[in-house]
Amino acid sequence: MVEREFEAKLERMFSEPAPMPDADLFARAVEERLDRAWRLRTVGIAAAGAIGGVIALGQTVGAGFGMRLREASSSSAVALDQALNDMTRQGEALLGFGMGAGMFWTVSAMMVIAAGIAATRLLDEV
Amino acid sequence: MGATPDKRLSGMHDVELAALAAAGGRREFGELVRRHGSAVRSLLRRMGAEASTADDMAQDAFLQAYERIAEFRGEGTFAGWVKRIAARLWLKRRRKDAKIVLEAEAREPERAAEYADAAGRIDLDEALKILSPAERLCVSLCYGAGLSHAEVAEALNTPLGTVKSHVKRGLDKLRERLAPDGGQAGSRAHG
Repeated sequence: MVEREFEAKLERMFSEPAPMPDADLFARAVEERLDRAWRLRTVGIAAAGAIGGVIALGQTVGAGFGMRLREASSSSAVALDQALNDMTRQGEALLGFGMGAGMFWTVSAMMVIAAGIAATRLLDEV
Repeated sequence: MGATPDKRLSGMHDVELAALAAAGGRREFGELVRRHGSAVRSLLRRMGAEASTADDMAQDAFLQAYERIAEFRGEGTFAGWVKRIAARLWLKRRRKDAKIVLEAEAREPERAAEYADAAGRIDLDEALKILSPAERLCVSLCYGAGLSHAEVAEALNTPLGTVKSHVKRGLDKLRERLAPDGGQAGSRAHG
């Protein structure tokens, strides 16, 4: 019985420590750590949201852009092909009739212009 | 979060504050820290931790308590619940040191100051100085943190008998020092 009383007394003594003079400072330090953790979590969630948004935006834009790029390049390639074929045919015809240096430079200039038009169209598509 | 004590909060019960803290109330949890911080820090110091280590670990224990606040249902006291978290945290981080303490040869304990309070009792912190580190650790864990002998033995990976004998020897010394009549030897069925 005496033993139980002593143990109860000991538990009481353990549970009733004298308040420490810097108890408020300690509480403030814990609160600051809680605040810091809270801010970090908030920033983390916001950053994750922003990264997710950017990825989603990138995917959406990338898919549309890729499709348009493919369309533009295929149509430009067809146009360029057509122009080159025409010019080749005209060149052969000209050569067949004996093309002079003036004619050669004219054809070359036309080819450069056609390439320029194709490039401009490509850029417009993009 | 406000750093100054709130009058509204100071009138609330621990269980009420814990419920509000579980709903995200950091101010309410701060009030709980203000109330019980000293008890947790004292326990860790009594277990043998250096003052600065004890304070750091007490802070960690409170942060862990905040994370797990929904688990506190008010069956025991909030202070007791946090003390158990702190004691387990200390044991987990200092398991190796604690085992060394338990296995060390009993060294000559410090002499307790012959200080007595108004009621003629020697202060508990002074009285604990007469115990060996192993006795002090085991007594503090059992009577301060409320762990059973078996829980202490398991946490320290030490035979139950070793823990029981440290507790018994510690109690005998404390009884002699603290109880006016010297008490009687023995140990209760704590574990």
